[in-house]
Amino acid sequence: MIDQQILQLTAAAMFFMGLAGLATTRNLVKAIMSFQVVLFGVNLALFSSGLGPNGPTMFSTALLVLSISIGASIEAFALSLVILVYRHYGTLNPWEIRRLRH
Amino acid sequence: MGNQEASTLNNYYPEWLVWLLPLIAVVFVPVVSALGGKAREWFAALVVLLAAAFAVTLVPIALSGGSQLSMAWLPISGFRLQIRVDGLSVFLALIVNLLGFLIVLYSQGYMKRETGLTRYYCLVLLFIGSMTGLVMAGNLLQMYIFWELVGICSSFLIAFWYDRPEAVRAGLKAFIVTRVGDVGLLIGLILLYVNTGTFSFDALETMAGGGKIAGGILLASGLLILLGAMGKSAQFPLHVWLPDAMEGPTTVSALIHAATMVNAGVYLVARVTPIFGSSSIWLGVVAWVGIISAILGATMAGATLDVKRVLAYSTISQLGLMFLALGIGSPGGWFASQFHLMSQAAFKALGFLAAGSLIHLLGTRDMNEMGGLGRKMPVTFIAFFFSILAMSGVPPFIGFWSKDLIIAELHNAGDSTLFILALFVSVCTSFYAFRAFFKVFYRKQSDLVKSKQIHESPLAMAIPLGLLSIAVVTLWLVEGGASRLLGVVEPEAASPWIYAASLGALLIGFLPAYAMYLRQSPEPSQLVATHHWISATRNVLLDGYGFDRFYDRVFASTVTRLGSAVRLIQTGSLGKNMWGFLLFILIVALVVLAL
Repeated sequence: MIDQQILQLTAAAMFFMGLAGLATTRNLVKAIMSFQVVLFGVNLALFSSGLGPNGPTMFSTALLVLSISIGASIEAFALSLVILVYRHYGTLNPWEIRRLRH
Repeated sequence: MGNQEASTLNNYYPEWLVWLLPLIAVVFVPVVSALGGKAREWFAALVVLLAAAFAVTLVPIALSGGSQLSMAWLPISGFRLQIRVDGLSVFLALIVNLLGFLIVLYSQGYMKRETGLTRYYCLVLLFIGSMTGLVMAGNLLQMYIFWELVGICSSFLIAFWYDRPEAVRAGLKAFIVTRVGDVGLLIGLILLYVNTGTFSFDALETMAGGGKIAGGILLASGLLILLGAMGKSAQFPLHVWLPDAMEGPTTVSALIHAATMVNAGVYLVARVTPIFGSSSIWLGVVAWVGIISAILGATMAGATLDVKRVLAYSTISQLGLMFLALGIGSPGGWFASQFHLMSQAAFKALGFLAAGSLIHLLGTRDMNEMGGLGRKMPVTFIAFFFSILAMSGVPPFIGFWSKDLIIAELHNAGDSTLFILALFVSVCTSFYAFRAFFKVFYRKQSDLVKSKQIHESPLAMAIPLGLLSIAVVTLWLVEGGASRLLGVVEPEAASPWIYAASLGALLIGFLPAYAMYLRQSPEPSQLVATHHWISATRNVLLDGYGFDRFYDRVFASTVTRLGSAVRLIQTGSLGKNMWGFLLFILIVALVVLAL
């Protein structure tokens, strides 16, 4: 199925774009946006792999909804952490926040 | 047992609400606490009281044979939510919620000056709700979910004072040690599921009864599930977390030791006995794990100086006796274990709450710094005294009846080794119990006690103490009711010889404690100084038989070393880590393509 392949390639592309964004960004808010792109890529992959002959199956849809809602809550949590990080360090640059390393 | 399909909550309120209510209430604790501290405390107490009331309304259902509600859950995967209402589950639900209520009530006084009480009450409600959910679960998977919830709540509560390094360490230790058992449990129940296709206790019982499960699989999964129970119930060799768990607030210790956590393991073994009980190897392992833990706990309790540790070691030992009773494999032994569970829950809760009053007042847990407190705190004195009497098994206190049931069953089973070892545990129990009692309340007043303004605890703390004190004297009256509820024929009165043997053991343990710690002749410190073997034994016992050091050296240091090796690749900067991750994916992709 050519449709499924297109979806999967898009998903892979989104996944790597998101990772590249995470690797290069100097702003935590942008890092979360990149992370969101990764998650959407994963969700898309999940969706495409659950495609049956008559469109998406019930099981894959249920899993997809679950995955999306978990992703949303993770992002909300990450955003709240970013606010705390900003209050604590006064910066959003992840390269400068290395205190946990030591 | 009738099976009912419950598509909605309608008509089955108690079955659902007895465990759902505390879980739902967790969310509302922060909301209510906005109204003030008093509102939060009463809200928590009321919720647990309501849950206890629901548990009481389940008793008639359980008496009339029990029922099982089931409801589709994750319909695609075919799992079902099953709520099992039978004697065992209702019995445990009653213990959990009634004791939970008293402990929450007691918290009002004990935790008054603490901060972070919203967190405390959230966790306590979650703890009680999950424990009730655990006992009401009709299949292993559902039980496992609550099992993990109970575990995480207990470790968070042990580490309640998170600014104290020992408390955090103890919480982590409880989490990690029980995790060892939980991994076993998880593997065991997956093994069982793969081979039978069901998690439901009912179906598993029928299959095991009909010989449809291969013996090897049954034994392997039975032993793995037992490992989980040993972790939760602090049985040898996974008992090391329980004494350290004393770093938490005393109310938390009471919850863990009496109402929730440690009972889960005994409950699980009792629940799966119909499934695995046909194997004599499995029963033998249960019994021997029990008796070894009972001996270890009872001996260590005789040496420690920390009043809460005495109670903690005593819990290990009493739980060991319950495992021992389960390992007999007879219906009488099964009943004896559950009856002893109730009895232990009552007198251990009383012991902890009374010890909590002392600690609250003195600010120390060292028994050498106590002494001479008898006249000054009458309520606490009586409460602690009753708890000690019940613990050591003085008639007519509850501990006497329940321990005697176990000893009589051992005698009936005809295993003289286990019988004699159980009597030895009895001797040790009465020694350590009276030793703690004399050390705390008699002798001369210590400097610390003289320097403090001694006064009785506030009413919110005294009421639970009073109620529990009445309970440990009168609970033996419910033996007939408990056996009807659990669906076991009430055991006949044991022969007088059994009573004589257990009272003799009691006396043998009591006399040295009386001589050394009340009459002070011979003086315990002089005995240690003059007899080399006594001081050597004492050091081994104080060291906890070296389990901690052994685990530290073998497991903890290995993990730490591995950790510091892995730490080198943690750069601490997001960008660099991400490039590493990309590289990893690239390598994996290349390997996959090459294959």
